[in-house]
Amino acid sequence: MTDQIEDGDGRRTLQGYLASVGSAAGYGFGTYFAYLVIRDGVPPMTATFFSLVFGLLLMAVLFPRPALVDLKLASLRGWMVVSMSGLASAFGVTSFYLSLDRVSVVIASPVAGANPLVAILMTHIFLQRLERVSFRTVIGATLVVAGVALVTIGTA
Amino acid sequence: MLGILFALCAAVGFGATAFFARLSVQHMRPTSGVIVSLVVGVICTAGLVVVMDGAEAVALKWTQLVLLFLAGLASFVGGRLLNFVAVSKIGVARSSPVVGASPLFAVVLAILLLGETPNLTVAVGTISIIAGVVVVLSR
Repeated sequence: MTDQIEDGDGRRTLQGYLASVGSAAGYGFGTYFAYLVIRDGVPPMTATFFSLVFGLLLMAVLFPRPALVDLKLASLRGWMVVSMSGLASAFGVTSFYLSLDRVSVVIASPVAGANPLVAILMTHIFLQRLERVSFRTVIGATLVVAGVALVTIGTA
Repeated sequence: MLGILFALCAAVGFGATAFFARLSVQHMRPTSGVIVSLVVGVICTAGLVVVMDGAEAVALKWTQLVLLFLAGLASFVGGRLLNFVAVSKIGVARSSPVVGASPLFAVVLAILLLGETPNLTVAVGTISIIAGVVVVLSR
């Protein structure tokens, strides 16, 4: 559906950045609610599982028709890359909890928080035909990752 | 050492999620992509919950279920769906640093609602996150 990202489309860019900020807020709020449950004694993996189930139910209720249409029309490649996204996410969460089982959150969170740099590196290596990674983006991502590390250490 | 290796695996997993999200929005709408990725996530974590947590997973209180519902709503209907939308609009390179600033929101909530006091390290980290986002957003 979406191919080359156009740098010059101001409205599309604004929508993208607003969605990014909204996503960060969503993940941040989600982390806060999960933190309350885990602090109440619920094992982290159980918390993740139930939040995934509730997320899936909500998405299925809110967007049933577009999903059914897309899933019928999607190619095998489409199914594969979307499934890989889910697998990568599950791999990330599981690895993170296994990490927390062995080292302090002060170490695990900043290392895992470097994920924007991983995403940018993968994009630069494998998706050059779709988007360009600018020097400014790398500097910004590095500042964010360093800031996340400091915030984690400071709140631990 | 193994713990740090797992943390690195987590960074790779989370980074790869955004990367594959970029590819998936070429084939289907963000809503459909999120639903499929959640189905895969539920299947993967279900097995791990049974193995790791067992009976504790079915002994949840109503208040905990309500909080997990809110976590699911915020993280997946909010966080992941908007992440897929952002990736489809501006790509991975420009969206992932902004999305990566999410701990900032968690810290702000903890300060506002739990009364936690930020120290100098948190303040410097917060400034660094905001500066990073501004650098990415400015053109």
